[in-house]
Amino acid sequence: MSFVVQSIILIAGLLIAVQSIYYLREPIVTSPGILPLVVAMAIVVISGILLVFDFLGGRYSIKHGYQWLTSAANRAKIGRISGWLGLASAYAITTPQIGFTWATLAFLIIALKIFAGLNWVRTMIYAALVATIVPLIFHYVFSAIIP
Amino acid sequence: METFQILSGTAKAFPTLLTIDNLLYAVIGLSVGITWGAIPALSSTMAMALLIGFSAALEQHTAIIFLLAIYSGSVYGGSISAICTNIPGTPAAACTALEGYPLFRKGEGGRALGISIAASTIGNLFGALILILFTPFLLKLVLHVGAWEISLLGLWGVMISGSVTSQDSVAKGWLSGLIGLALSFVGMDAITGTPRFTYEIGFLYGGLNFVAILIGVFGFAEIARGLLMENDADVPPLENRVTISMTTLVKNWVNILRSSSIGAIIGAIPAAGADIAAFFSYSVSKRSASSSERELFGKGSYRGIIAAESANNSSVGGSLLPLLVLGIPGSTVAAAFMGAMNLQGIHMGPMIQISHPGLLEFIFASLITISILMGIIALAVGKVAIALLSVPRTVLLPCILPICVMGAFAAQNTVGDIYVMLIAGIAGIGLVASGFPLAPIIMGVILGPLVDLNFRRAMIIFQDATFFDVLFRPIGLTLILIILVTLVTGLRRQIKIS
Repeated sequence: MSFVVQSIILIAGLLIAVQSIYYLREPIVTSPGILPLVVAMAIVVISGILLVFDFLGGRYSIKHGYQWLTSAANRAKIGRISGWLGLASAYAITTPQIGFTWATLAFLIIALKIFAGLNWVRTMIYAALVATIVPLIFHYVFSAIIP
Repeated sequence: METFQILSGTAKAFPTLLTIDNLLYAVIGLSVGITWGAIPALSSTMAMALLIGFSAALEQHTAIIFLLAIYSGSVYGGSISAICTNIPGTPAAACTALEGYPLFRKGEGGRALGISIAASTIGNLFGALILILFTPFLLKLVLHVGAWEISLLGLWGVMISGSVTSQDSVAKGWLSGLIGLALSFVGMDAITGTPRFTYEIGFLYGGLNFVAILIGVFGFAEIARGLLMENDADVPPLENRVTISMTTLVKNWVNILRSSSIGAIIGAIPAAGADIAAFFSYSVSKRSASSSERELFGKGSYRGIIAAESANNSSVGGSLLPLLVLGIPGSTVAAAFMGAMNLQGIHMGPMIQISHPGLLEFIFASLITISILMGIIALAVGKVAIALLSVPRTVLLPCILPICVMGAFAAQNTVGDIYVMLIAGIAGIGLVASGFPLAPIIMGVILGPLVDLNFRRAMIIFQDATFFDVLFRPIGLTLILIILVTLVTGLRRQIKIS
């Protein structure tokens, strides 16, 4: 996991550095690209050093990665987190399309059933309460516009 | 003289503050904050992050008192679950759990809760007092600080937050800070008007919304982390009433003063925050205890609870000191407060007295009021918070995601911010899983514009100056040395860890 994340950071740093060059103009020290370039270079250097040291220290190996992925505890965690991410992403994306109340109702019914294992009656009651009362509170207490 | 003026200004701010609306929002803020802080997996930063967007619609003064109430309340709230379940509601209450839970098991839960309320209230008041006393002095000093020094201070703020919040690798803390800085560059450049990293996407021209990133990182990602936590703890009923033992407080007055001072000082260090203040003060209190008192540590020591609680609450005032004077937040929660103030059109920093006369005094008066109210509200909502502890985390956490979505949207009423929150949240989960601290990202995002703008402004001012003219400015040189010391000590720690 750490290897993947650090590699993404390294690549992102490189891309930011390349893009920053386009924003450089004379005088360079006051141009809009100077700090993004410096920051991107620092990201590339630090993440590169971290990756090299981790490789040299034997932290990354195919065997280690395989063991991590196949351990029952990690697989359960990955399953749970992937399920949550998929569901939460679908909820966040559909909210502007179908409206907060309906999206929240659908999301909570699925989430409470899967993650909390509640029976249908309690699931429906909790989901309906949150989907209706929460926006009302925020609307009246904070004059919030509901998405 | 300035201190006297500030004190009299603070006294004059009370009539503006003590309106029904303000007091009502203070009570709501404290109740929500205490309850929120009490629930494990829900942090103070998360509470602030979710409510910033909504506070934008409130009147300026009401928003300030409401957010400060959330801040103070959530820092205290962590001690409730720490004492009753041995699971600290917030990291700042970890030491309280060490001492409070054994007392709870002995049947002294009510007294332990009472002592934690009193210590928190005194700590909060002490932090406010430090803030009032030191702000005029620092504001005078800040008059000698120019764009160059502000950019160095901002840079140091990001660096030190990376150093103090990373557990297994300082380099990862710095990387997090740099990622935050990189995110802050998105949008129209304030000096030349050049769009940077916008890729012709409309809502990116205004920059990435800080509130959406904050909610993503401290809301969305924290919910996912909470869902992976071990099973909920059982909450046995509180056997006795919550009582405040005056004898214990009087016996510990030196401990309270010392711990509150430590809390206020540590709170002022960027990103050091309430948890580090509590740990440090707890260990100092343990070391300075008599041998008989020291034996009680870990088995239920009121001295330990007082040290941790007065320190973590006085850090609230401390964390506001660099924010009010320099525009550099002392903690992620203070950074969130800064973001909320930006939404209100208030830009913290050296010019605050000129741009918003009377605002500082209002903030001081609000902190004092909240500290006093906190003692009362904590006694009232303590039982509700304990009852909420028995709601399973798997039921509670999914119900918070809709608030995350609404909070991200409410800051600017932009759908794009919901997607920014989602992406920041997913990235946050990956970063946490890889050992990257999240606080420096927030510091980077909030301090990035300050560093960028002031660095380039300084370069324009110094365009005819030599390199040595810039280097040997006294305050600037001191800051460069501080940055170098932070860098060297961080590197030494990194090598040691490696």
